[in-house]
Amino acid sequence: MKKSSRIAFALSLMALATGCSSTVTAASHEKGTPVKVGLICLHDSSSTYDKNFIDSMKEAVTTLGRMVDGEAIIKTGVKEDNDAYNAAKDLVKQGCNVIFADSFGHEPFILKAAKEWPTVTFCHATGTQAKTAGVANFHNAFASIYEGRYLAGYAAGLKLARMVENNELVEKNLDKDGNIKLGYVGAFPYAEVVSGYTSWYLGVKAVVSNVVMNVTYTQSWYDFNAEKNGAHTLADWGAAIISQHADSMGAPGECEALGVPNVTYNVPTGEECPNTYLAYSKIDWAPYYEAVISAAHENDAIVGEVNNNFTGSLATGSVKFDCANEADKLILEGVKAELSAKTKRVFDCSTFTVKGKHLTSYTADVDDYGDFQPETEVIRTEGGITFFDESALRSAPYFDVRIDGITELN
Amino acid sequence: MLEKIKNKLGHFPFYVTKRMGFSKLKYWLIRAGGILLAFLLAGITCTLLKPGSFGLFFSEMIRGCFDFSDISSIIDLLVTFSILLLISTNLTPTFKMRFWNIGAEGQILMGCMGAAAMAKFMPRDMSNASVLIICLLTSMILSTIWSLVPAIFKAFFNTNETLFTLMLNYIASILSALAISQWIKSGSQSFGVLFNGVFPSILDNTGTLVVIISLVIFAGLFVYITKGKYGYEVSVLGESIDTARYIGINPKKVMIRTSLISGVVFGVIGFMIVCGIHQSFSPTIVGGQGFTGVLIAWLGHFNPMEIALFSFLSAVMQQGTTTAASAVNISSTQFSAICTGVFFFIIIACEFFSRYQIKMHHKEKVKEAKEI
Repeated sequence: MKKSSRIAFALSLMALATGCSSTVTAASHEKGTPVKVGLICLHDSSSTYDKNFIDSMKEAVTTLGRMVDGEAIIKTGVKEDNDAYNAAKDLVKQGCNVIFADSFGHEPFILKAAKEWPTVTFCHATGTQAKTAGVANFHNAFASIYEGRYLAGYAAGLKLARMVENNELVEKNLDKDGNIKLGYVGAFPYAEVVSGYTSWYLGVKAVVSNVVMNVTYTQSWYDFNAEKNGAHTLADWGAAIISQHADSMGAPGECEALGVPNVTYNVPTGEECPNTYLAYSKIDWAPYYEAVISAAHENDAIVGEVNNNFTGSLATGSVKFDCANEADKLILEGVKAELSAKTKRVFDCSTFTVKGKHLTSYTADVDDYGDFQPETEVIRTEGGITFFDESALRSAPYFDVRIDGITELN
Repeated sequence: MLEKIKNKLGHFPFYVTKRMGFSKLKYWLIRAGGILLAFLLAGITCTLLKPGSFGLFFSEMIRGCFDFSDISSIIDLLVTFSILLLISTNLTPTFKMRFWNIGAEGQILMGCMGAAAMAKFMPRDMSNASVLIICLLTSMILSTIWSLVPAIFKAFFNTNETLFTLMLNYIASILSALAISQWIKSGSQSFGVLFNGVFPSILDNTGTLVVIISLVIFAGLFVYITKGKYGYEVSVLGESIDTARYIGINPKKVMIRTSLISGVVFGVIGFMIVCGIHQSFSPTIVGGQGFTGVLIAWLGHFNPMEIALFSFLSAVMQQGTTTAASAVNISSTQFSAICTGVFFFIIIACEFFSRYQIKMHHKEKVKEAKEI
């Protein structure tokens, strides 16, 4: 490392002497040589979301061993603006062949970088434009996390059933029609979050049918106080169980303080919240990292990718979940097997209604042309089940249906 | 503890006095020492985080800023430098007339917002050049409003301009956040990359034109400040309003004219930041450079050449530490900001100790007090 930088510096002095100039050039990768990897994160490890990416990256680098050139260069605290492009540029300068970025708002800037350095592979998690952009070295990835959330919701449902049985619910936990109240702290009101809370809600509903849910948005992926206050508002309203899709410890911590059972995302909080932690689900990014890096190593296509989109699943090991109650684990394994075998679907149209009716047709904005116009029919019938076909046509979620029983507060 | 000593002695154990008879050479030697210390501390911090990286830190820092085989990084450095230089120089006339404008951040941000709005909403088939002209005009108008309003209030109602300009920063920031939440339909709060209204590339970099424009305006401001009637009027007004009136200067007119010019230049800066450097927009797009500019203008004693020196050092610190941090794999992008902060902190300390000295009161009394 030291030596190479000295040589580079010496070369730069020579270039100065000879007066030649060039712009930042990307190192093209030679087949079979180690790959240099970079990762761009919105926050650092104090955010559960980014910690999940960073930990998975370390795991993947260890697994791949000699295929990777040293440690991955990780940049944290990269904002969703031109900083993301600058971070990518810096990683290209450091010689990275594969660059990952972890936040939705990074996408346009990573895409700009991908156009500029076509020999570098750019992979953007949660993004929507790879299918339509037509830039060969720009990729999107996500996982069918709605299945993980459904399972975590199912675990919450089992807990709720026990709470009903033991008469642990109080008057404020029920609405005027006798439905049990649930709460959800979401970040932003777009498909990724809507898909998440709907699948969680349907998971609970699969066990306890009379539930209603309130959702409150924080308008930020990481805002400790807003998440804490959100959880507090929901608990005050009477939510019997709370889950969240935002990245600080605000909501789980508040639930522990108030004694409301909580389902988490990205990291289990059993240690921090021993009395209220129920279950968690997360995307394990390691299988995707491994697929991309080994493809780059061999100068090959990424295995499992369609239209530059990679959707991890329970089967690829990309969707993980766990719960605190040992006895529930067996039941959940059974549900997981049904989901894997596709004899059960999370967004089975017979399990929910929209304005009192079951969905028979729905067009979603799957192909992102920046127009926000829905164009693709996403309701399918297979094996006798009519369902919303989430994450099949592109990796990022596109389920943005507002179903009955769920109320958005803001 | 200090309070206790004070009660016993009737005064603090030390006091601050103005330093007399300090030679210019000594002053600059201390400053140079401070600058070296700041770079050294950055290297030491890096070594503490990643042991054994001391040498690599400095070689990477030099490579990050002065790698002449990589013209793009040289231009990036010049962009940071010239924007800082222009902001600080542009603040100088207002400061000289003792109009403490600390709202550069907000005034530039308003310009950025104007340019971004136009670049985003002008029809896509419009030519890039006409979009650029519309962006420029809009950003100049918005920045000028943000700069003129406090000046008018100061001129006619003698309002405190420091608080006024400071508060306008927050209003600008909230307005931009509001604008983005209205403009961006995906709900992601991320503005994305501009399609139209983008500076042409020279030497494969849209920043080249930013450097050229900045330096041309800097030259204009330099003449404006140091030569001619306007610069003189501004200095006299800064010395004493009564003197200014006596020699026939209209203070209100000078104050408003100076703020008007500074607003127009901030508009151009906002326009260059959006269309030339970022090709995007966010409420934090100015990135504190408006505040850094205030600091540099003050540290440079309102002298354009000194301002240029500190702008350059600050740019080297920012870009060099960013490159070095990724070379030694320090993840946090805050590392560079911390190093720059330490750099300014040390320079300010040098400034303080060159102007003032700390003297102890009678030694025995202090000793007595310590026994409490």
